[in-house]
Amino acid sequence: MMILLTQFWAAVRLRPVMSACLAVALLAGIANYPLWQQRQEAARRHAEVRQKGETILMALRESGRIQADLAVLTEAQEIIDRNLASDQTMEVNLGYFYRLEKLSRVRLVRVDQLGAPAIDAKSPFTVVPISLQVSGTYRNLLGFMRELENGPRILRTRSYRLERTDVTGGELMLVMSVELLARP
Amino acid sequence: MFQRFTKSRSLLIEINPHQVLVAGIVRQRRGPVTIEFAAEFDRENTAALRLWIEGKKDLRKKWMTAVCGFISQRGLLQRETLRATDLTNPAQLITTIRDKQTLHFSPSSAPFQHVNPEQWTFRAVTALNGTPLPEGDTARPALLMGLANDELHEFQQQLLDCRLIPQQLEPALLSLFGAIYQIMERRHQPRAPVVFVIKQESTAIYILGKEGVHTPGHVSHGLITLVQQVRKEFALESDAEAMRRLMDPDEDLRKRARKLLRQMGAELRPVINSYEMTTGQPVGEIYCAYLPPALSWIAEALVSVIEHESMPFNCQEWMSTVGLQAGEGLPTLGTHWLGALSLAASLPEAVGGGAEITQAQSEMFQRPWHIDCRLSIEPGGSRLINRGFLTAAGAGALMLLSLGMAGWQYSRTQWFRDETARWQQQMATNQKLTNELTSTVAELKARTARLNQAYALMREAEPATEFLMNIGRTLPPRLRIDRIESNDNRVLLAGSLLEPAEDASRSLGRYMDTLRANSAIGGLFASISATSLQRDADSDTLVFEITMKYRPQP
Repeated sequence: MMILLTQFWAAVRLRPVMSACLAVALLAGIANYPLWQQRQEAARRHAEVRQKGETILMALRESGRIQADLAVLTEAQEIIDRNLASDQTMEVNLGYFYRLEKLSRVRLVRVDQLGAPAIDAKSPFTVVPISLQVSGTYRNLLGFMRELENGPRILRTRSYRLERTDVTGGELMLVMSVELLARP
Repeated sequence: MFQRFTKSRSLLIEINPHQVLVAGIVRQRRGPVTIEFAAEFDRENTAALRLWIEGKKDLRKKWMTAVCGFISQRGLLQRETLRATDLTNPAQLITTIRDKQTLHFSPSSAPFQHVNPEQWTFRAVTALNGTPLPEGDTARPALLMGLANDELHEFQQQLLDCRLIPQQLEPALLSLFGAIYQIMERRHQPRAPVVFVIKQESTAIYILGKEGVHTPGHVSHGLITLVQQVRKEFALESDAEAMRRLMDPDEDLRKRARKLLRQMGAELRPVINSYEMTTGQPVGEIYCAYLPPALSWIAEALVSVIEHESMPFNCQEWMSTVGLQAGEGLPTLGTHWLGALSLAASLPEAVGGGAEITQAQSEMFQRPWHIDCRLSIEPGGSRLINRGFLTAAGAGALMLLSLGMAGWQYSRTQWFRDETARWQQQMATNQKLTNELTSTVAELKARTARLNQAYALMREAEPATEFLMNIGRTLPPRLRIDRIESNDNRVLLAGSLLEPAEDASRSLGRYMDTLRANSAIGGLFASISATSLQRDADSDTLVFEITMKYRPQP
């Protein structure tokens, strides 16, 4: 052991510059491992924070658009809420169709409000099914249907049957089944 | 006048099988060569030699010239009858050597069995007086020296590692022969002296006769054999222990020396006898070359065993006869220095100076028994490759790389930390806005969800009026729709065609094609097909039904 140490010391004395270089290289090499671990950890943390920060900045840049979207959405919801039907107020619901009858110059032969289907209790909306039987000319019936579609009540046509009843007079019969959007 | 006192200093180095002998030589202009100091090192201990050179104040300069001699481990020295031109054909020389060796070895074990002529250097001197072989076709007895180029490179590199530039690199045996011839001549000694070179595994014999140097060969007993005999004789546990005993012989060992060397002597003696019988010339004194002082007792015992005498020799006296003188304070040099000092014997003025000598120039300073065997490395030139420098450069590069790597990692870590802190600061600055935005987004999501629920309840494939208008636009002449029924799954069109039956079926087909091709209608339905076509009982018209099935909603 002593011989080895002596030889080692002789070699160090023989080439002091090289020995110093190798010693420094060894120390730096050893120091590289914890430095590498620290760099990895710092890089991971930086990636996390940067991703979060970029998301926030992007959201802040888009905040104007988000506010505008929210305003549009709020207005749309207010319109919806104002025109929601209620299954408890049948006369109001049916009156809406009679009002359109006059405007469209058709004859509402029959209007029935049917029982509301079961809808998820948590849902903010429900539907009120209505059955209609209307007679009139093709043009007027189409106008009636257009009024229904574009009117203030939010309505969905489930089914309809448009049938010619008088070949010569041009009279038609429209049988419709619609659903009104209503508050539960 | 001043030039007479100009001094030039260089080193004299002999690398022999056991030691490296170093002497500092100083020569004054037109004066003798002065040996200023001398040192001895183990053969393999180059580091100690380097340290010693660096420790000498006078030698501590960047590069120093040296006159060097070496004993080749793998080369050969053989007496041959040669012409000067034979040296130009190394392949033929190798064949000649091999043929001669196969007389003493089996063909497969001959040392020169696998030798590449391009990797060997061959030199020769006249066996009688050591001069270069004269030009011409007359074959003469010559001493042929074969040296492996890589071994020569190793010698040169070993010197360069010690910052020494070899002025001459000589086979030391030749100069030793020259010195012994000169000594014998001065003493008018008629008997042929014998030189033994005890190497690790064998012992070489050279007989310096009147008709030149004879190389009877080697015997396979060397220092290793002796070590094993000592180990066996004294029941020692290791070769190292036996070697230590050999190097420091006690009284007991000296008493048994003859016994230990009897086997070696028994092999050497027939060789000498054979020479005497062949040439008729008696063999005289024996010189065991290159044995370090610690092993010099082996020489005495060996000479005694083979019943000859050692060559009497005084180094100091001999030096004065060959232009050498001892410097002040130089201790008395032993007989093992003869080979080293013979390198500087009758040294030409240019050799031994501080200036470099190229191979071409060295031929001008050639003496008998001296051959310069340097290979083509121009000392001090740009092609000089110092292994030490390369190693130091490599270590430096490694250090720079490691430091650079560590520095880079540290700076990157700091950069990541700084950037992380900057992001965190930015986020903290915008925290209020972020909170507001978060609540806005949450509200937006809630309202969107509510709207989506309303849409899910009220969703329609297409407004009914739009569909009816499109149907009206596609109606062909003489086709009448009497009934349209629609529900979640299908639309039914019922009507009549006011045409003859044959035309009506074609018209109906075209109409369905039109419906399918219409982008506003065809895209809504998975299929459009006629499900009924009947003649009306009361008239000639055809009554039809077309069923259009909606595509499934996503």
